[in-house]
Amino acid sequence: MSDNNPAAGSTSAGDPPAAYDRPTDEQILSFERKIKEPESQAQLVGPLTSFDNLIAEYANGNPAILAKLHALSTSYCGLRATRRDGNCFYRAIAFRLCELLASRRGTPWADAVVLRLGPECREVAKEAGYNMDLMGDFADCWEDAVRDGDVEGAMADSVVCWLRIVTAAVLKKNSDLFEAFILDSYPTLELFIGSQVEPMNVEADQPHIVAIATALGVTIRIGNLDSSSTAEGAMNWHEIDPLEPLAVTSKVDTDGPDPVVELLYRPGHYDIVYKQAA
Amino acid sequence: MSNIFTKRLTKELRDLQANPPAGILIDKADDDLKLWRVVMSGAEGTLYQGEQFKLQFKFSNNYPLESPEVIFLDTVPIHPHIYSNGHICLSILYDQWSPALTISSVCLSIQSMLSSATKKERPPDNAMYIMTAKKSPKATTWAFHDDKV
Repeated sequence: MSDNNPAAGSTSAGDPPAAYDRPTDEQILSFERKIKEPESQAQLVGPLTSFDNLIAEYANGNPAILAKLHALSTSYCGLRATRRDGNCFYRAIAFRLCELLASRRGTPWADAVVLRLGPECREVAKEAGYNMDLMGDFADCWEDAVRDGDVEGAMADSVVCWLRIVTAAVLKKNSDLFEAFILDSYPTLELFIGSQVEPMNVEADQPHIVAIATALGVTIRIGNLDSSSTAEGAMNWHEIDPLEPLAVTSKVDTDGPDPVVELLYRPGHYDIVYKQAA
Repeated sequence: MSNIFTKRLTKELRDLQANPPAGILIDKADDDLKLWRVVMSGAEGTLYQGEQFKLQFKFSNNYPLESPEVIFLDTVPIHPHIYSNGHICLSILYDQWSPALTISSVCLSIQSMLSSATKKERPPDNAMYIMTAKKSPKATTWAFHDDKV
């Protein structure tokens, strides 16, 4: 009889409150840690690998996704998996941009990006009201990593933190534009920033992507690995340009087109993808 | 990271000593900067006018990327979001913490939370919470449902 179990049946005045049946906070937290354990030990940004693992993962899964992966692997050589900790978007951008800048050091493009992601970002953050006396330490981490082509440094949480601040600063600077997208779900832009941008481990969404492309002056291309069927497994790419284009002073033909940061998106997660050398 | 920890807390301490916000006073900061005591006065014209409270801040080496542990000591204010063991239900102390926040902004948020109370009462689940709570409020799975108080 279920009557012997205080957890079952309807509650009456004499019953203990239902909340007594919930696991303790300690149990919940230890359970949460257990689930996250494999992830918390994953590399922040992994080595460059082929798409084989991903293809194997979807081998018995959705055929549309599998077709897209096969098509992708004909023109892209592989990917770097990022840790699924809610910071992957910022971390992927920092890592890849640092790599691209190191490979194009001294070009007009690289010079313009370095100017944008350094002093100009500091200025935008300051105008948005951030205390640069305190936040400057994080900006230093990012600028040092870029200067030294230090991709390890570019993966650090302190860099993620700074990129979140500059994302928030660009949102504030262009509040007229962004409020249109945000005010459906949040009463104010400030509340959105306080809960969805500034705190660590909170994933990035469309407004964040536009804002960071603008802050850093770099185009971000995102391949959406969704389950929609497309002809020959064509990937749906979204290309996000900075709101204010980069001021590249002169264009040297030998540099080729300006590099873009390319990411592969699956719900809630971004990995870095690499095009095959032409 | 410990370099950022020291630089950051040294600056915060200097700022707070030079320009303390109204009703906020640093009582004591340990030499290694890991444990601070702050005295907070209830704002004029609020239910807590004339009362003084003591807050304890504990910092991990990962501050400010990680939030400080903040609790009331001794005389705990009677407030719908403050448990009688000193734990404070305030989202910026837990999952909405951001490294852009400071000891000063945390104190002001807590002070403003006190100021907006319309009735001095404990949280409805106080008795049960303090029975099961760990020493640190950061070991609690908080649910935030009320932005008004």
